[in-house]
Amino acid sequence: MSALVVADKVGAWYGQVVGLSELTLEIAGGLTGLVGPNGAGKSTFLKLVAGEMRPARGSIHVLGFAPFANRDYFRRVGFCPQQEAIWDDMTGLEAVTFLMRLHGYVPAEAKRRANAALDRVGLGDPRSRRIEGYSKGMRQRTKLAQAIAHDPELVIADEPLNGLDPVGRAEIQALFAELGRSGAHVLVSSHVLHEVEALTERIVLFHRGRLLAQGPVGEVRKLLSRHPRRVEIRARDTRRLATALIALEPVQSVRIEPGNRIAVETGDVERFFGELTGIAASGNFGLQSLESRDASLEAVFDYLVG
Amino acid sequence: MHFLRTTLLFWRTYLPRILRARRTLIVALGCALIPVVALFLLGIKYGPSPIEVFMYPAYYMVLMVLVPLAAVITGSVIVSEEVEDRTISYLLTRPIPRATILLGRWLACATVLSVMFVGTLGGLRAVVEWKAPTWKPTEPQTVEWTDRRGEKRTRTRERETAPELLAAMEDGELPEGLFEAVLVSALLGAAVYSALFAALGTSNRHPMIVGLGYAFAIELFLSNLPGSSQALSVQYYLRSLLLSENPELWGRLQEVQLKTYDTTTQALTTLAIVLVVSLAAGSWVISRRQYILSA
Repeated sequence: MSALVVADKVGAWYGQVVGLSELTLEIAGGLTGLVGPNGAGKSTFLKLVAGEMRPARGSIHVLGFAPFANRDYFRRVGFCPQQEAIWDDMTGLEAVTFLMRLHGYVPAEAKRRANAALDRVGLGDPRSRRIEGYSKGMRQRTKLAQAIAHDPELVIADEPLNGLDPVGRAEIQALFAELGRSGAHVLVSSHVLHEVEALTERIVLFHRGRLLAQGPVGEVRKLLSRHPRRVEIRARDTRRLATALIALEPVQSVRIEPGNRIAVETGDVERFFGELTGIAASGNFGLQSLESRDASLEAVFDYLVG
Repeated sequence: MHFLRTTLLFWRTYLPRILRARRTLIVALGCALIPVVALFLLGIKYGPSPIEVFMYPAYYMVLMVLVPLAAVITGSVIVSEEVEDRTISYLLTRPIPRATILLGRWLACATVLSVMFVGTLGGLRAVVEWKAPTWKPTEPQTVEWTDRRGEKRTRTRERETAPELLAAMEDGELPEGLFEAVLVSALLGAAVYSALFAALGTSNRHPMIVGLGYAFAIELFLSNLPGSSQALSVQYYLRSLLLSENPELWGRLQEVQLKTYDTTTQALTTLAIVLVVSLAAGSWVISRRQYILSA
């Protein structure tokens, strides 16, 4: 089966700020979660997938189409953007009906589809009120309704669970699961891993505009925990400390560097720090400082396991 | 979806929204002010004659100020407000020709402006023609007084109006073609300026500021330069539409110092070209541009 999304060395910038850098990945059909901390590049990637942005470098194909400004492609996808904004001076029903009219439906059919989609996302009576009075959750539901009302092959939702209460989250998660079962492809992003985990096992992990890992959540966790990380230690007696460190099981390599510094590479940073505390207490090494050289990766790790 | 049908859908959807907008209310208030000002002027002792009360506000307040101002206020936001409000994502990811967003919304804007200017100029005409039959020039009045040195001094209070102007409205009605020329000029001005500023809004982040600068600095400067440079301004062609129809009347207003002007056909053609080129340029930009929304 051909991949749903194929990105080849995709780069995207916001002026001088890198949105995505040399991103190469393939995403298979079905329900996939995009995760990563805020600013990781998830929204940029989804904007490229949705055809709102074009890659500054490289190429991206979704459902076999180059998405940017592609009308044939837009007939097949529904996009729920991250921003809360939707026309405040219209009612929820008017907004979704109008957008369905843009898909070519006659007024009666557009309204029928809008009502059906608003029912599916659980927006009841408020659909006849102006959006300016909506809560964050109601806006989120309206945005989702406009993304699914035309029964697209692919639903792209950027942080769709933001602003929803626990009951609302459960309802929308059930909706995504239902969409997945009905045969639609779904790409959902979130900066909260357990939200995505509740939806799907398959995740794509972004960090600083790059692909960090991809696959089932459990495997991604393992992969990251095995990723060697560098820790720099400053101590008075570097030779004795290096000898003690090399004996530790989580330590992969130790290198003495100028300026009373030791560079340690470890495959299990948590365990290493635990054992280092014991060493520091038992010997007189004159430990001065401790610094993780892969701070960014550390943050991702914390994010993942936390 | 068919291009025309989508354009009309945008027109129909945007029309009630533009009518509810606060900026439209501001423009409507400005328009409503013109007949009120005319009524006030006709009540002033030694004030202008009815035909002047029509011509001055029509020229200075409507054509020179209200038309470009209303077009900037309502036209510049046609696309830029969707970008600023971050709602353009919903439109740019639909299976529609992107140009229809600009064209449909511009049509709605032009419709609203047209109704407003028909209303304001119609109101101005109605006030002038209502008051004209009873209006009489105030007789000159000589005032005598003695100054500090004990010398007797006199001063005559009067307002001179060119006899041609007074004669033009002897029957209490505006001269033939005068109202129509002003109306056509205002409607075309609104259409052209709003298209110009709407096109500007497809590529500029601050189209209202740039539009105001253009309308009230660059245009004003160009349209008052002696020589052919005036022809670089939209105002020149709007004035040409007036002067080519009633040159003798407009020439009596000292302030309207336009020695050269185009014929009606030339002015209409040029304005039509500016209108089409503006809309085509705006459509081209919106069809190709990537709108990056701020976080």
